[in-house]
Amino acid sequence: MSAHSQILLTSSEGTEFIIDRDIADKSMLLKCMLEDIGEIGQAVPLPNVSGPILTKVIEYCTHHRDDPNFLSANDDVAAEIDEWDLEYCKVDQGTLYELILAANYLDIKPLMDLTCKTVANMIKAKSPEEIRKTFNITNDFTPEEEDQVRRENGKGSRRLS
Amino acid sequence: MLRRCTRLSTRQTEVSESTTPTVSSSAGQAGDSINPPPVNDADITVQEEITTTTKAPKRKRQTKKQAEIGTNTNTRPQDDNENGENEFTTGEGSSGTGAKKEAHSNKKNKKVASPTVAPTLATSTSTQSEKEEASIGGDPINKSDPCAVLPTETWHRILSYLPLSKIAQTSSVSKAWLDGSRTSPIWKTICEMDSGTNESESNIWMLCFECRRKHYDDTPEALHADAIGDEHIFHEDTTQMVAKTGACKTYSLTEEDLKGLDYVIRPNPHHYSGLPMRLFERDQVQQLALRTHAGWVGINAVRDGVARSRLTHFNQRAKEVQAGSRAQSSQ
Repeated sequence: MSAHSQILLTSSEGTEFIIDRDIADKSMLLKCMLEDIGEIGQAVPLPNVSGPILTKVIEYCTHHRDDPNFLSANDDVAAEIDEWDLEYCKVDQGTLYELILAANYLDIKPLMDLTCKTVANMIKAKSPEEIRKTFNITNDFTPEEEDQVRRENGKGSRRLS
Repeated sequence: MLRRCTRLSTRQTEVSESTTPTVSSSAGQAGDSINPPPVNDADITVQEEITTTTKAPKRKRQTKKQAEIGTNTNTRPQDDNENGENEFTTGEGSSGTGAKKEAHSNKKNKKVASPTVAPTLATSTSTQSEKEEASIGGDPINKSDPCAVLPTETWHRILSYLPLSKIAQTSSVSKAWLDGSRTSPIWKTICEMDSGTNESESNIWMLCFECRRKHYDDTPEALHADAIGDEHIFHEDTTQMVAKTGACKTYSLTEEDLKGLDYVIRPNPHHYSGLPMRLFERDQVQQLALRTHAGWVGINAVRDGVARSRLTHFNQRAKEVQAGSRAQSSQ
């Protein structure tokens, strides 16, 4: 019976979401809270998460609903991201950052790992100039400063560990 | 970030208000959408306010979306931008999941490539198709600096997925990134991790210079009795001695480094009229080198580095000579 009980969540703008208990348990925040206070039948307010983002988060948790390795799968930093997750992360940067914040707030470690890894992959194979282009960053170094940073890094990597 | 959140939330409320006009427009009835109901006017002003408060790139995104929607649904008149915007808003909103809206998002999906996942929620489908539009277009929308947007701890976590050399490289992106990569606790943890319990040779390699020196202060390394490389050892009684030039070469020390050590003067073995050679006690020289380069790891690394730079220098010189001789022969 308890496995089929449902939880009511309210997003920042007051939209209500009804999800199954086992999906809510993917979030450590909700899990601990529900264990502590029990199911009181009232809506759980999530003032830090907007409706569309919460929808995305629920989508993730629903897909990984029966995943036995949910908490341990992403421990390996070098592990490949599986195809569904890869597709899941194909969102615009704003949404991705909001997902990171939501995962952090709701304490869903695998989602946090996945989204952080996605951002890291966006940086990985790029030169500083390409990184600036990707994230629309203006270079606020003077040429001298930039040269100095470059030189320091060069020295750092050449200096014998 | 906050701004974006509020923008989304304002939209959300707007969605619930303007369900009727949106539905009429999304059903593709051109006649209705030319004369929008009065409710729409209020919505337009709200929308305008939002657009002025949001940042420039975000506005660009909106207009891009509008344009896409405009091209997607040809039945709608071109000047009907406000309705287009409303429709877009419902696409993103999650409340008020009416049957009409579902129909709309499905319609949108048909135009884009079919999503890989079966849709569970109407909204998730629409975001999916939005993503695909973005990736197909090749022009990432809504670019923003993750370093500025995300909290520092989260940013450090992202950096921790990158190789160290890459983290160092990112510091030249902007001042914020420089701070982000310099303050990353990863530098500290890496050193602590290795100087902790496990002190094998390979882990000592990973330590920074300071930590390695500290490590060798606690656990001194044995000196080498045998000659290193082509080192020439002189014997004075029972003590091993090395000449100044040899010491500098083998242990990568400078004459400056050797100043503090005692030496004995012996006649030059190569030529009787040459400058006399200075012999240093080999043990002392090794101790000094271990201290200067922090262990044999450091000494070897420095010597390899020197050898490498000498090699590249030699290769370059060889190329120059070759090019010179080729130029001469062609004349």
